[in-house]
Amino acid sequence: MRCDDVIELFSRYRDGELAPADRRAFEAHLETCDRCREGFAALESVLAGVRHLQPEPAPPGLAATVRARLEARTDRPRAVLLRWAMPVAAAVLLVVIAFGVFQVMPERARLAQQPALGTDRYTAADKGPTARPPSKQTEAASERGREARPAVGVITGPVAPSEPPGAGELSTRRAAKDEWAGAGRIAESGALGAPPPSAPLTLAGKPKAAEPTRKYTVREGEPGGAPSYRAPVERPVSPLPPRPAMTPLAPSSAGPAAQGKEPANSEAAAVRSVPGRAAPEEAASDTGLAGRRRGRGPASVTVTAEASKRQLAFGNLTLQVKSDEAVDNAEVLLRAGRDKPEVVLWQGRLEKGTANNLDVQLAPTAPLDALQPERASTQEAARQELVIRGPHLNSQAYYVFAPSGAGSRQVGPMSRAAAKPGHGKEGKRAGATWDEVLQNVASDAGVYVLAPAGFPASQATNLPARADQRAVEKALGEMGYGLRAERGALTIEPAARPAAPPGRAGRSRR
Amino acid sequence: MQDTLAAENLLVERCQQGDTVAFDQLVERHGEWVYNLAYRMVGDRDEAYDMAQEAFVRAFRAIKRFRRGSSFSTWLYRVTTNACLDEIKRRRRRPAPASSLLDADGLSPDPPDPSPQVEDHVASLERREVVRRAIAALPLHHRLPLVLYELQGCSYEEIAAITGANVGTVKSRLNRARLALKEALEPHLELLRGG
Repeated sequence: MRCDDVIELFSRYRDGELAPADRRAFEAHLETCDRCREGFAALESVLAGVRHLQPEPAPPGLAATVRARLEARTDRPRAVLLRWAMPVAAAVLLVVIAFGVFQVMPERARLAQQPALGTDRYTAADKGPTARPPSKQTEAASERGREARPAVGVITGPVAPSEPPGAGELSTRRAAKDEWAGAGRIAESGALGAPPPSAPLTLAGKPKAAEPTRKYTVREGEPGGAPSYRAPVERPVSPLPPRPAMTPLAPSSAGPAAQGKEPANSEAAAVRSVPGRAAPEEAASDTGLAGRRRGRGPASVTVTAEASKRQLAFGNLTLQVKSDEAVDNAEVLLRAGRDKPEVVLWQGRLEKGTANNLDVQLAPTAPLDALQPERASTQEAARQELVIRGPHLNSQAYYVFAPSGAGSRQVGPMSRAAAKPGHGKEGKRAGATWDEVLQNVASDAGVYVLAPAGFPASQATNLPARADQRAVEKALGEMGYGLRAERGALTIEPAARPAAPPGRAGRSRR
Repeated sequence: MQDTLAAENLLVERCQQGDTVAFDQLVERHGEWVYNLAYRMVGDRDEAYDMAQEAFVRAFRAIKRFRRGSSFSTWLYRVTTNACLDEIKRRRRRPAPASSLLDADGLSPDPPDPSPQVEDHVASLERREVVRRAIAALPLHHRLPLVLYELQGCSYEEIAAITGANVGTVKSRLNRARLALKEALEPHLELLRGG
């Protein structure tokens, strides 16, 4: 076996694709050939380096973003219609204008030549076989047109087709009736392909033919005057219909199961949030919602979100609100922390349909110093408060719990392969972070993992995909925790009588 | 495994009936795989994210044409591959963003793992970066089978189904890709073996 043949067999040998005889020949060659042996060893090293590339965790919010794009595409026909309506209209208009120009330009050219010809006689030879001598009416009109003011109304005729029936017809009809009659007829005859008037009409004035969309009217009281230009009236944008009264967002309300809503999956940056309760009254006044809510519904939902120090350091956060259509045009405040509610790191708005993602770009001047106590501890995530004020579409907003402060050390050496098998040989990396495990587990089995702060991941409790709040509270109770509602925010905290941690692992396997 | 396939088939069936919630779950299931394939093909996280979105959007629009009985994942990966190839072709017509040069594994803003020594960590980052650049420099017809096989864990048959090539072609291209990668990385063998 030659060296070139051996090199070609590197891959097949490595993958066990060689027949026994070839395999033996291959190995025998490697034993005797230093070059091929080193080459094969180099290949092994290279491929080991390739496998060293660890898989990237999927960016948080991928599903929500895809959903948003899909929803946006459902509106596409309308958007496409709107997008194409104007260009098509413009194109049609252009054709109409061109038609008008082609009707007028020969007139201009011929009219420009007429003084040189020194005659106002029109002969068939001048215009070729298709030309017709002017009718008597046309000539009469020409004569009158010579006397009549060379008004812009002359040009109205050729461009009449492009004009709206209202104003255009009005001006044409009026021209036929009043002293503009001559000019009007000239225009009409031009449109019919009849020979132009021999009168040296001038086209001085405004090039009205280029403005066919504008409406020209002859006002009463100035019958002989030039048509006045009436600027198009800007129609006021009709206000949005009044929003329906809001439904209160009560902690005891049914969860997404009752709503038919799927609780969104968690994400790395912000996975800890709970249904809000009645908000402070001042929030309502802040957003102008007073009087529009039904009952004692909330005006704000506080979502406790977490961002790692890295995210804060880079000033780039992607926070996810775990509720489809929970809010609409809501004001969002990102506060520095529970202890520093006065420090607002970021302020923005959530619109309907984008409520799942919050891309937060912290300004370089963001008062991150306020987070110094949290940032001093490198292993602890900085805690923030995300306050959403504004109309809520879905009062049954459901949020998924995730541990606060649960870093990778608390998760322990959990294998990614155990959390999500398959998808590559690199999937066996140990020491996955809590967020990764949470994402994988949730996405794999439709089960959400519930764990309060500091709770061992191995003893976390699973939540069914359509868990409602009762299930959440029950799961929390099994772990010895409970929910506490205070000032619009729900917090997980140890229950008075902690129950024994469940023996069930926090991983949900298929 | 059977349960998984049955559950996935059920999700696909619901998606074919227009159930976007079911599609969300499919996105969650395959999001990481799709994103990683895109990332390894283009080497830019932001573009890979866009590409993964595009792949899923295409998949949803075409899912009614998916024939049950075949593997949904293979079909989805084929859609993803096509989306990646389209994007790469599009990128060839415009200059690469400067940010892509910074968006490498070794320069990612991920905090270092506190457990290994700093030197080991730096060497690890350097290894990853060198390999990543070498893969990104491979021709497309070599890069795709290499990424699918070595990084995405696909078999020859799966790669053949995804790329539309026959198995023999896949093996040949994979062999060529490995040899090309070896040649490109031979100057860095010491670094690679240090890990």
